Amino acid sequence: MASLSKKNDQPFDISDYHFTETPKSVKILFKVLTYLFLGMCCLVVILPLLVVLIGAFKTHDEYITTNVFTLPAVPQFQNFVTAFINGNVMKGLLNTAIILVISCFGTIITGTMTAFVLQRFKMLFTRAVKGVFLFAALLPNIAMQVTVFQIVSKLGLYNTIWAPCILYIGTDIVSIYIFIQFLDNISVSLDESAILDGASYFRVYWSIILPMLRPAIATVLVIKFVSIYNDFYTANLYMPSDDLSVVSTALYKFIGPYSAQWEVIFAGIIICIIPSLVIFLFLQKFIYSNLVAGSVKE
Amino acid sequence: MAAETVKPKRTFIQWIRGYTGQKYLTTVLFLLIPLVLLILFTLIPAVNMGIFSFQKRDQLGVSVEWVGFDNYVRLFTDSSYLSTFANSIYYLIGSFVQQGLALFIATLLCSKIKLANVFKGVLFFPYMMNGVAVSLIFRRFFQKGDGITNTEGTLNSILMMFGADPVKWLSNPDIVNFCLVFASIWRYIGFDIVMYIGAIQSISPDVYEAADLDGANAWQRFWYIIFPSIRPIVALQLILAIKGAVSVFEIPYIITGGRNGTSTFVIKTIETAFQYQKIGLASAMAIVLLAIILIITAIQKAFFRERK
Amino acid sequence: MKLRKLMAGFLAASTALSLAACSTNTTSTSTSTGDSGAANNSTDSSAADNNSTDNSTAGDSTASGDKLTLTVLTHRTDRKDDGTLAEMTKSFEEANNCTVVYQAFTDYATDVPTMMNTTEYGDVLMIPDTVKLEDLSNFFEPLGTYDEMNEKYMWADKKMYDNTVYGIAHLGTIAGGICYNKRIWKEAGITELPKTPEDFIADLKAIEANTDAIPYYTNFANADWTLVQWASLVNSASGSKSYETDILTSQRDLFVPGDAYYEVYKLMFDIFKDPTLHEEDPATSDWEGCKKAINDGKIATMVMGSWAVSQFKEAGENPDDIGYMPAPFSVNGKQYAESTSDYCLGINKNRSDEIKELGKKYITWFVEESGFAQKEGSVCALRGSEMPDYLTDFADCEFFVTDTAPDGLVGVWDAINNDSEVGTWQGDAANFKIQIAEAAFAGEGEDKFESIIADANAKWNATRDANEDLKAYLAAN
Repeated sequence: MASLSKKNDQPFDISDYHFTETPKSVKILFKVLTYLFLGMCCLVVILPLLVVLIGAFKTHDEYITTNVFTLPAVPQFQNFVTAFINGNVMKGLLNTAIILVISCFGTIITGTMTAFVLQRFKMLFTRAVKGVFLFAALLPNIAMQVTVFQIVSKLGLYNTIWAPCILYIGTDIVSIYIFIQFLDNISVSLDESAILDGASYFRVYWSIILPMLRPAIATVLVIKFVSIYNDFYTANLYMPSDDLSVVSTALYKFIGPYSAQWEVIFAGIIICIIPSLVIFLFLQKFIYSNLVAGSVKE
Repeated sequence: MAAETVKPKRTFIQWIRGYTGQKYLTTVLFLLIPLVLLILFTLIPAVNMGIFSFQKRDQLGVSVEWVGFDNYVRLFTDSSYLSTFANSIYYLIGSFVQQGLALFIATLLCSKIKLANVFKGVLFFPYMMNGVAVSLIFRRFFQKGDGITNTEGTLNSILMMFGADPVKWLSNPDIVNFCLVFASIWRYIGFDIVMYIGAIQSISPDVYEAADLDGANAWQRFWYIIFPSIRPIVALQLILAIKGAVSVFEIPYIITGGRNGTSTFVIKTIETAFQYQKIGLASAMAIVLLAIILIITAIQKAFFRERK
Repeated sequence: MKLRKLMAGFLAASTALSLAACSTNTTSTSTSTGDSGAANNSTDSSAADNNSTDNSTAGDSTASGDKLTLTVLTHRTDRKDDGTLAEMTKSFEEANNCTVVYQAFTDYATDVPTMMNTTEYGDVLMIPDTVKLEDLSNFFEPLGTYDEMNEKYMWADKKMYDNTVYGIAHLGTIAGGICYNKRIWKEAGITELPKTPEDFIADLKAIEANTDAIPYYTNFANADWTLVQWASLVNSASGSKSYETDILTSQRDLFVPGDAYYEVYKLMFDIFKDPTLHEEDPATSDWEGCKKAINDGKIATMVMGSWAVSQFKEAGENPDDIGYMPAPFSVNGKQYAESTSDYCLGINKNRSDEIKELGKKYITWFVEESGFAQKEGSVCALRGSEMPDYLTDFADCEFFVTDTAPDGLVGVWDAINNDSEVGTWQGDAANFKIQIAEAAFAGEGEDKFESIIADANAKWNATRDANEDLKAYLAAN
């Protein structure tokens, strides 16, 4: 938010502008219109989802004969049971959670360390490394997975839970950028005073920088959650074993020539959404404030 | 800001020497793992991609042939590859609309409005959803029912409530791209709204109070106070929108598979690589895309340097 | 503050989850992978460790304890998820004191070739068609000579190079067929199945006029693979055992009026251009729902391989209504149907001899004893096996198996097909099949069809004329 606060520092004198008084009736009209408009926007977001929710509780016959908004005569839970069992969702949730924890932890440690060095030590080497990281962030990874797969396999990580973890940690350049941009706003005077007190650089990183980076860490956690939770490709290719299934692969199982019926697919979608929804409801405010912190700096 | 980090003070020369050594040590230790990972999982694959672009090779990497610039020549002479960039225009326009709308909604939500958090929450939620789920939801959303195997989709059901005739949304080449852009806006706008809200909220409340005292209306408030303050972010967003538009892929790929004139450059690249087993040509396409993104980035950098 | 709470929450949750993971893993692996899994899990290690040890053993297929583990890669996500494969394999596991682990891939044809850049592509797998025949020996274990294998199995030449066979069909299909609902066709007053495209369209029109069913369902929303089903009609329509070879050696256009390629896609164009003959909005067609719809008689006809018959039968209460008819093309008044192999099972050549032996046993068992092909209503590769019962409509139809391409022409068709991006077996967005369908739906006339065909011919011919292997072959013969 550096750029913003700088803007605000500029003298801004509201009396330079000549505003005209708005009549009260017009104000009320505006208010009504505002609510109407926002309500409409929310409706646009909700309606496609509502159809999924309703559809998931229908029988197949109801699904193909009744209007999308018609509620089922008797809510069917069978679709959820089918999706839950066929998708092996329980195991998927556990594996997803493990991967999330490891990857987030790893990203935060390596990301903050990298950012600390790259942002605080301005040497030719760190500048060059920073440039390389920027370049890497722009690479389209379309034709790269053959090589990536070879490397993962050579490291003996194929079909282990470490394969996605290390890929999520090792290819996350955006997080490093969020940390670097955040560090731009943390004054070096803190580091300097600690160094004057005889602290080592590691100590500066650990006791000063890391705690200061908390909002950025939160941002990275949120972005990581969304991307890892929804990523199908990595888990599908690198851990085909049943014991290593994740939530997003469960949903993909319902697609393709051998796919299931819509009601079951909808139930699968709902099951996949629920964990996101729960986390979202609990952490709503937190997510907003921290996403903002991250993206503004991107 | 840069040089301040360890500003040497003459009285501490010896002390600094110790820290210089430590600085190098810390640099090496802290960067060791990230750099190894970067080299392994990004740089080596990227270099390989560059090498592949001069080869004729299939997915299995057997019987590799060096073909020089043949892949690039084909890319720039056969119009069927670069022409797929045309659809990026839709997404470019779409993202401008998206930014405008997001800014507008963000402004509304920052005025004194009840339930602002509920509105915000609802609008943001699609951003957290799985791409496949989004594709399935929108296939149902735009469905034209036949009354035999299925009923009308969500959008047509709503239209019919108002007495309108159902429409074949995804079959009509004139509107299908707009439908996809709509899905894209649906999915990503919440993120932008939340971002703009954050930016607007960081404007000092004093400024608003002054404006309120002067009796500024909503539009005046937006145009004279909010917009000037968040202009840098808006500019950044628009440039990111261009980048996003040239590399758009997921929404058309999962909803229409690029059919009915909805293909994009990245979809074409994937098809070239995996349907036709031309990893070399696909690599060249990826390199071209990279070059375009680099150019946009350079413009972005130049633009922001100028502003500063 | 908030962050600390969150972190605490995360940690608490993760601890709980990893504990839970330990316990569930123990139970689930002990059932699915037998003794080895249970042994690993009895040690008090973390959940992540459990997973890695479990699965590295599964991946490498090294012996754990005295039992071997065989990893089999399959494209049948459905049969793995519904437990059919595991259930079926129990007898094999018992007889050979081993554990078979199935890994299913939704996007098999893309994912497995990527894996094949390493040695990690399972022990036994469906050989992806990406592998050129001349490259088979780089990846797969020879199963025997052609003469040996051909004696026992059909389609032994499908994955053969230099007289060595590397794969046996896990099942075969009758390619030149069309799925239909018998009851509806009967209700429409059709007494005799169509033998020509004109008859076929007339029948669809009769269904449109006399029943409530949708005469033909395009499944265009999944066109990337559903339209490719039409490609499997071509060889049957030609009635020739050497159709592709003849096209190559005669150096003629791919699409010639009166000839199979042209006529098959002309039929597609003619059906698709008449909005009364197919579903109203093909762009949002519904593969998931159409299976039950054809079973219920709401859809009358679909061009789908015989692999789909069992799915359509299972989808509702009327399995007996699902029929499979020969493609409506005749050569000199006679109909033909190509019987062709589906994916072939091969053995990863990078494995230990022990695993390779077990793999061979597995393939033999899968093809000869598992009954998978029969259960799927398909043709079993073992010679002398019974044909599926739904082939009654093929009584007057001559079955044939396409000849192996002559030496010097092996792989040439695929090379021209890929280089030119004509894509006879592909369903990419720019493919001629997709273009034909889109033109038909848009109500374009014959001239548009002709121009798409001409364009594909031009691309094909240009690439063919530049193909060195073909030049060499033609010069030599």
